Amino acid sequence: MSLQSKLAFPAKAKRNFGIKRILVHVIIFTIIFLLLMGLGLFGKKQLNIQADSFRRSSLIDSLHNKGIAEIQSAILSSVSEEHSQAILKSVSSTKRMLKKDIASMLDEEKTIAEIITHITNTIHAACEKNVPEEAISGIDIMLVEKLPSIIENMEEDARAHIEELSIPEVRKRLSVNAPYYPLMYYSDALIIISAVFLIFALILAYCWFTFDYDRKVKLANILEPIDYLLPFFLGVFVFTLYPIVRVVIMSFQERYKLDGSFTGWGIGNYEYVLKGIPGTSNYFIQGLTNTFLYVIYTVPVTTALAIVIAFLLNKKLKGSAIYQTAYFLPMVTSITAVGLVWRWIFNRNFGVLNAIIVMFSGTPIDWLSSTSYSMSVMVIFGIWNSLPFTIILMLSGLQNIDETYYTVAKVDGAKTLRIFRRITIPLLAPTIGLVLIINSISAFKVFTEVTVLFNGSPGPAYNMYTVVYYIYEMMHQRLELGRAAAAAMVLFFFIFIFTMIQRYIQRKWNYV
Amino acid sequence: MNNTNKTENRKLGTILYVVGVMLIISGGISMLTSLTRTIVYSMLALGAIFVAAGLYFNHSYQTKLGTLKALQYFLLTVGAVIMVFPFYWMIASAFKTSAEMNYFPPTMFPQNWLNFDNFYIAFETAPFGRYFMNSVITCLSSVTLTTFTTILGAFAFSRLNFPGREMLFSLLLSMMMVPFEMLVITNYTTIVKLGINDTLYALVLPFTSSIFYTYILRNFFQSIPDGLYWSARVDGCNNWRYLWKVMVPIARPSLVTIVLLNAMASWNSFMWPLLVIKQDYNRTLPFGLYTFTTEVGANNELLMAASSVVVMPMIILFLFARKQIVGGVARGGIKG
Repeated sequence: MSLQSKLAFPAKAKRNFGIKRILVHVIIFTIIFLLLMGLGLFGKKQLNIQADSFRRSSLIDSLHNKGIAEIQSAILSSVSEEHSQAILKSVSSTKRMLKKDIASMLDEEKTIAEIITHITNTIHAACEKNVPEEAISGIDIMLVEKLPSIIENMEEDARAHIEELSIPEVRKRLSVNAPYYPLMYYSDALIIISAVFLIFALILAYCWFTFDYDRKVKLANILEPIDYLLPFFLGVFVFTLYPIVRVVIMSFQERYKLDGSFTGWGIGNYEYVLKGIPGTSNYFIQGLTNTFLYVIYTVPVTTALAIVIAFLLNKKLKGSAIYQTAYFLPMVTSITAVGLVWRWIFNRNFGVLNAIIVMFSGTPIDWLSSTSYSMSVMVIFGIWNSLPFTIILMLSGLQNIDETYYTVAKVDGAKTLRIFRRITIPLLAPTIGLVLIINSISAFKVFTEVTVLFNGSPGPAYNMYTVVYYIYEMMHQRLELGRAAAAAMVLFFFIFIFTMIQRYIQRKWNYV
Repeated sequence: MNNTNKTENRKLGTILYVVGVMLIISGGISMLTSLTRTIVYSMLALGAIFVAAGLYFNHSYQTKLGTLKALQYFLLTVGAVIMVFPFYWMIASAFKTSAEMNYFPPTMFPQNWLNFDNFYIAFETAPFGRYFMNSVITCLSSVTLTTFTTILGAFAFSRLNFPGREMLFSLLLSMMMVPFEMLVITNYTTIVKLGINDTLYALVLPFTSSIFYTYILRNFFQSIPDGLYWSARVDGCNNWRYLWKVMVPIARPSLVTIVLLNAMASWNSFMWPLLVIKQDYNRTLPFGLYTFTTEVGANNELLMAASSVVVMPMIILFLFARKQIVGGVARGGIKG
């Protein structure tokens, strides 16, 4: 033990985790390895059972459909036209019984030749009842002649079926609702990951037995931050980093569906999203226009109102706590719930807003079902909803302004309005810029407002699509994930621009 | 001579001012009554003229300051009323009968403030109790897990040294600008592939770690002086114990903020449950409320009762922890 390490772990060093961390890792990794390996092997076993049942059912199908059809055509070719009706009838009468027979014979592990012979015999017996004697003899000759080739065909067919249903193919066909679906789907991945853990465990065990004390301390010091970061990064990797990469790839997989199928690589998704189907209205462009209009209408108004209110709140009038509570309340409440309340306020017949309009001798407006007012409804609700957040940012911006500016201005006899215009606004400029950008970004993602206000449809006449609503519809209703990804990329493009401006503002004014 | 003139002017001004203010107030009140509009408007206009004239004759500092203050209060109050009105309206409507709901113009107050029928009916029509439990379970587990991973992550990024720390962290920060709406697509497929769609796991798992909260907490952790750490180390405290016995108690205000913001976001989340949840008994409150709208049709009083149930916990939380929430939002600059 070197002097340095003695100093680093003084008196109560025994309580330290220290180098034992390595040993603990070996144990934990081994446990994880065993667990994952067990799950993976179990999944693999289930997958094989599933594959067998898929193969069996496809074999039954092929024997049942193709086999009977071939025998039937062989019989038909041997007899004259007049008997064909009777033969078809007798064949179809045996079909259902034959299916059961095929299944049970497969269970008894009979060969395909035996099964085909059985089918032939059954059909032959059925034919004997319906077809006259002289025709039967012709059928017999024909069947004896053709049976070997039919059997050969069917055997080939069965082999093809088994080959076609390789494990990856089975994996694709799995139903999401099947029991142990994730274990079956990820069985290979689980085994590989468990192997990785085993390798880690072995390496660490090797280190534990060969390293001297100093190197063990170093190793433990390397392991420590990894341990702290692991739970955090697990979530980040699976649900943030991977999705970012995957969505970029997905946007270039044309018509990517939930089951993983897509028609080809290319920019088809972008073309579809941006051009739409010729001759019909392009909802993405409509959504983009609506979103931009929404941003342009709500953000400046919200910001202007917020500046005034924040300025007044910042004057520390009496009861400012009550005022703050009142102004910030919409921020904490669910948009869904307050959206429903606003829908009730906007109600055509009994709504408060129309009551106020009537009070000022106007005519009631059909806010929610008239297309010309959809945007106004959204904007009013949007302003009300984003105001608290904006006021808070403005308030914190105002509180950052040095008090001395105000004192000096007051000493010089400046009036409130003048102080507001000449001191508050210029010093608040970076905050205002920042708030404009942040609000634009969040207004860009408007979705819940549309869904709730218009009761689950994008506006009264499909006129209030927004970008995110379009993404949602593509993904959830039409199951076109590739196109949704392309739309999301376009959304990201705009948000990226706004974020860059935000970063620029923050850097320029040394803000935050 | 001049002086008496001035004092008389002042008296006149004060009288005019008071009369004007009273006119405006009474005009404002009579807005709510069925008095003829022209009379109301002329009352208001006359009041404004009187106040202006009063200010002209009596332009003392006090009066002006008083007017300005009154004006400020007035503006603030009007704004506050508009902001709070939907909440009042929600609660008032929740206590109305369906006949009362169909009055036009609507009545400001329900006839019976203790009419809880709508709540009973709403809870009978849809399993709101179940929704509530789902929301609570998701919220609690998501908050617990996120807080745990955030504390560990923030500690590693602020206190432990490892190569590439700053680079890794700035990479994480740049990932923050990717909107959740973009991640949703792949997360949806991941959840489906894992076979946990339509379960509560699907609502919790994607939200177990947050870059944003880690960023906030790391900033706070970094402001704790190094000396504390080294003295604790010399006393034989290892990193793990230092984190939980020293860092976490000091960072309690920040942690409270994180927990509150996280709880709010989880409680109010709408798009994600809408995507991954199908069965009725797995819905959370906002989603359940949303589907409830199609069930009740035009019975808005039931809807308002249900909305109150959804909104109330957050309002109560806000009333108790306004400062922390506001502080967190101001610091983070990101909508909760």
